[in-house]
Amino acid sequence: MQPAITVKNLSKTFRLPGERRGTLRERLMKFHQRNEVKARKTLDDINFEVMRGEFFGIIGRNGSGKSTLLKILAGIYLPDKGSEVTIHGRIAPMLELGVGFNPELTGRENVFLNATIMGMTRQEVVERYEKIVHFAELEQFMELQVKHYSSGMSVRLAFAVAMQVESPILLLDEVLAVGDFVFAEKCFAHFEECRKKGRTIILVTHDPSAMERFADRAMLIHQSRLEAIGNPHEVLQKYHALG
Amino acid sequence: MNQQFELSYTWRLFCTLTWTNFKMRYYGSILGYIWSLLKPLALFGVLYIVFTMFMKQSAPHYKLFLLLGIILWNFFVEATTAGMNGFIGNYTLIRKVYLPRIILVASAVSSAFLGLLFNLLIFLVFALIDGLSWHLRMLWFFPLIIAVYLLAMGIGLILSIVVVKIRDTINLWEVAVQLGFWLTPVMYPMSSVPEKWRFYVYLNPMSGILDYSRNFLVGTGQVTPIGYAYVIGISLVLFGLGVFVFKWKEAEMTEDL
Repeated sequence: MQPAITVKNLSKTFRLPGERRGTLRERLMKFHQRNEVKARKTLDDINFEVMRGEFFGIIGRNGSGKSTLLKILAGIYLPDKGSEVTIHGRIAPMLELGVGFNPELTGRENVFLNATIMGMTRQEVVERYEKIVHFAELEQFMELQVKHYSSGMSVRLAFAVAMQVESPILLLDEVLAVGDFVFAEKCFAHFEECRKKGRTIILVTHDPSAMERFADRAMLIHQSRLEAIGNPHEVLQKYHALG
Repeated sequence: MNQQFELSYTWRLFCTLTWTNFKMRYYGSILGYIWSLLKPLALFGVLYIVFTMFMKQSAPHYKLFLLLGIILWNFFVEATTAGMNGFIGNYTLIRKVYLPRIILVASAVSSAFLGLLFNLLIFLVFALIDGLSWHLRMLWFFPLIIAVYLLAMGIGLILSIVVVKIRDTINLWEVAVQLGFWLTPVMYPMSSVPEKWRFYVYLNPMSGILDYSRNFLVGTGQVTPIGYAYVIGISLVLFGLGVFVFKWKEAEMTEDL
């Protein structure tokens, strides 16, 4: 099996200014004081590999560093020096559904905008537009401004667009937290299909049942470190034992 | 990542965001795009009345002279302000999606540039009404349009980075462009600036753009090849500086947003 993502010695340190000096006045007033910089290690020496076609789950408590990890994989943050992150193949540049949705624009306009952000060409969006609308079950609402949508409606639309992205690697951060169970089932059916097509999916979730049902392997991150990796059932047990 | 895909993705995203920005500026207002024409025209109307009626300004084609100045200055202000907000204003997008961040600023400046192109059509209408005679040398004006675009882009890029750390920049820039309106030959010709001050006025890159644009189009003053090269050159330098500063600091600023 070929790897899709290889991560070696990954660390990420954020420099947090001791005190926020936002405005010029504050800067001038406190110029003589040293601006203390605290370093916070959000990820500490993480090593793992995700194979092509794998459904890989990441779990961890709030603030454990899993979102930072996804952002580094996506290329949004740069890792510390000495870290090696290798991505084999194109990655869908999205961590959250519906980013770039503009509430003032209509559903239709947002589909085109969001799909472009995620890397589709206009031609591709035109071809798949009907499918997207149908999946989102929003046939009658596409000319309505998204600000008039319910939160469920905009999530469905966002997911329907994300589904059409054909990059070999998908990064999903807590996408299942919203939407009702019927929609969640639809999403899972889609994940199954992706897996059959040999795409790699990395999912961050708080939902243990989803993790156990779909992930081939899982990884637990706790206090910036990789705590466990392997069989989802065992990783989940460790997660619950964290207390 | 695939180089070719990256390039075409950047271009597609740039076009989409530019058009969306442009559309959003007057989205939902009754007059829509007409506002982008009405605003400079309103300022033009006021200044024209003041200068011709009260100050007896009677240079030939003063109307065109003033209108062109306002259109270009107005673009500069709108473009740099929009560019300044290109980074902090797209907070959610930057934190959630990997994309070439420079296009967020570039598209903000470019949507203002679309507005400039519309406004230049209005200028054309005025020029026809005012009976401006046409010369081949007017073609020299077109590189200046590109120059002012690149200039605004360069300054917008620098401001977009500085504003992440120093939020006062928003207010400082607002004051700077208000002052700039009087210190730049927008309403008055360069020839009315005393000789000994001209050097300092030309240090402001917008002065050269305005002066040379009007010299070529309305034919109000002298042009020299060196002056022209300077005007184009300083715009290119500031553009290059803007790209450099942005590329240098963008990753750090992303974490600081």
